Amino acid sequence: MPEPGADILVVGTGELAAVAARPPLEGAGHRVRTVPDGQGALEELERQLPDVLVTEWRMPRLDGVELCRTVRVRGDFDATHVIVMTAAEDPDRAVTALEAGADDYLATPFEPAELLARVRNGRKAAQLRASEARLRALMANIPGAIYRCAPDRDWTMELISDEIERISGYPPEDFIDNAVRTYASIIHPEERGSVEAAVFEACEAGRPFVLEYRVERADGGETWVLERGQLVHGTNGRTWLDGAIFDISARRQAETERRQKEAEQARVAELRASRARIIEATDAARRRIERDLHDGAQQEFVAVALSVRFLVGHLETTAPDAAPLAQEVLDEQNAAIDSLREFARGIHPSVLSERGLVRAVEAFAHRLPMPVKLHEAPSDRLPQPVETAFYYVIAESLTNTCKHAGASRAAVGIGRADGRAWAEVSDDGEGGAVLGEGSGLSGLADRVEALDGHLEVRSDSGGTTVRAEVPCAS
Amino acid sequence: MRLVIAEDSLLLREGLVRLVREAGFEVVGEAGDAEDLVRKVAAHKPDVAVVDVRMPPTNTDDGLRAALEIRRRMPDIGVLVLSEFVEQGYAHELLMNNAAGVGYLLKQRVTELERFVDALRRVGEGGSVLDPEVVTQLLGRRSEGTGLAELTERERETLALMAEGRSNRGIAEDLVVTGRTVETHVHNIFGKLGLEPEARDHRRVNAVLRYLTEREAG
Repeated sequence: MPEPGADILVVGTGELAAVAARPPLEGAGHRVRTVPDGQGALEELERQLPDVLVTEWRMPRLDGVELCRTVRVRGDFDATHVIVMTAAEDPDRAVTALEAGADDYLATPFEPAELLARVRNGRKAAQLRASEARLRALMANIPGAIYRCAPDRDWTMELISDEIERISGYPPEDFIDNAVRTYASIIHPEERGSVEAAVFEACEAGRPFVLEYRVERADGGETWVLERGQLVHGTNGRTWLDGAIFDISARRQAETERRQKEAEQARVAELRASRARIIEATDAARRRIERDLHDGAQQEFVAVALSVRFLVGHLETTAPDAAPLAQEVLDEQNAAIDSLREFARGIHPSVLSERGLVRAVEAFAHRLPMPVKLHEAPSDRLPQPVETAFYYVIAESLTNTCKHAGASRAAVGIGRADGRAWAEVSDDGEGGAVLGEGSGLSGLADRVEALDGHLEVRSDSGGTTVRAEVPCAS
Repeated sequence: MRLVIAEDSLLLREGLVRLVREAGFEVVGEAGDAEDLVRKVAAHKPDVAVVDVRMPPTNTDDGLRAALEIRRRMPDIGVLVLSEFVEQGYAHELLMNNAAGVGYLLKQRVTELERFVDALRRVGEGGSVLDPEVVTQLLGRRSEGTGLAELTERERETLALMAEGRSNRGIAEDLVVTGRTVETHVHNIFGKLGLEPEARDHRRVNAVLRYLTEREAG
């Protein structure tokens, strides 16, 4: 396959340049530019870098050796092959030229074929050098360790970029040809086997692989890495694994933290739900006990009382002396029924289930030796758990007010707005209520918090206000 | 006087039936749940239906609801509601609109034979009966700044008995005073509370109930 012509800059005014070099190069199809000396060459280089630069040694402004020195310090000159033409009789000149940065030298006189061959090889070498430079730049700039390794169990590295040092704490040279250690040796022991299996499986199937695993660092710590790679076939029949290894510790850490946070949130939610379930179950049990007392014990007590009443009537005619005793039994029985009724009411006021919170609060307030004003009562029923919680908040707060606050009156408000329901009890007492461990109020707080709400207690010399608020969809 | 008795506890129902029969009432029907009650009341048209509040089918306030239904559909039939506990709120539901022929008593009052029989008669005759426990709930509060504060002890006692639905004669017997004295007390009470005097006992109950309930709201 004929190669396309190269861009060649010939530097010099002498016979070498004009006669020996230019005609055969042009004859071979190359594009040739000529400049008279080194200074001219530098100016021409600003326009465009050639594939090959062929220069004479002696020149008026900036000779060949100086030209080599000047261009070699440029970072972009890797892709240009530099040939210095020197006199054959002076081997020192060749050494000087090479040391100055020339890639090659050509002793005069030379055959045109030799020049063409050297240009061809030089150009290839320069291209290779340039692509290697690009690869190295790429490797240096990609945020991962780029590697090429043998598909063996050690992952014998042909090359690996510097990033591996940041990832593992070991310099890349350690891994090249397994000089100090193998890459396999720094994969976490628990994952070494699975990494190997996954890579071989992907290679077998001819597809790329993506793996996440831990690397053991030089400092004893671990780095989470993501590796992408695939099997490639080299020119000389060899196969390689080409790929990149990225540090994903930060992402992993964030994921772990997120998972921990989610787990924590789930735990808190579960705790709250279980607390709500416990309270719900307790309330259900209280309703059941109240009902059992009502339908069972209370009914039976009244039936017994009725029987005793018949007995009293009977005794009044048959044994008048014994009648007062039976009447006493009846009175005691009635007193027991009174106690049982109050007990059942304390366990659960049935008016709460039957008529709702407002009516239950009214009924409770009626029994207190203190005026209680009910304002802002909702006309609709609230959900049962909310009503039950609010009932106990209100009843307990009013009881506290009567017992401890020295208040002359209390006010109760119940309301619902913006997806929330609230209940508030305030008095004009002397304050001093605290929401602390062991106080009745903390039990109320538990109830309210089980519904995702909160209980607030404000208490000072102006009185006490207890306010419960819970989410409550309208 | 003809009665229908609704009580789901068989033991109690039998006791009640025996009690009222011995007291001279005629039991024309017995019911064990709220639906049975309404059906039998509609069929027998008794003078009074004696109703337990908590009965099947739901065992909550089915009896109370049945009583209210009877009041609405058959206002001439008296209803005496018995309950293991009494609440001012339920009293309000039963008596507020029209207290004629309505009674609301703690169930255990059946053992106070004379009062219970008296209550049955009064309800059967279109009067009102309210359990003293409810009246205590209504009156047993501080009364500063209301007309109640101006009542004498005797007037207070009279007011309580009025609220229970007692007639002047009944109040006089209870307080061991003359009918004339009671009339004076009643007159003073209505004056102090700023209420229109009411001749009929059950309308008196309404007036007093309304006054006591509104005092709460005020």
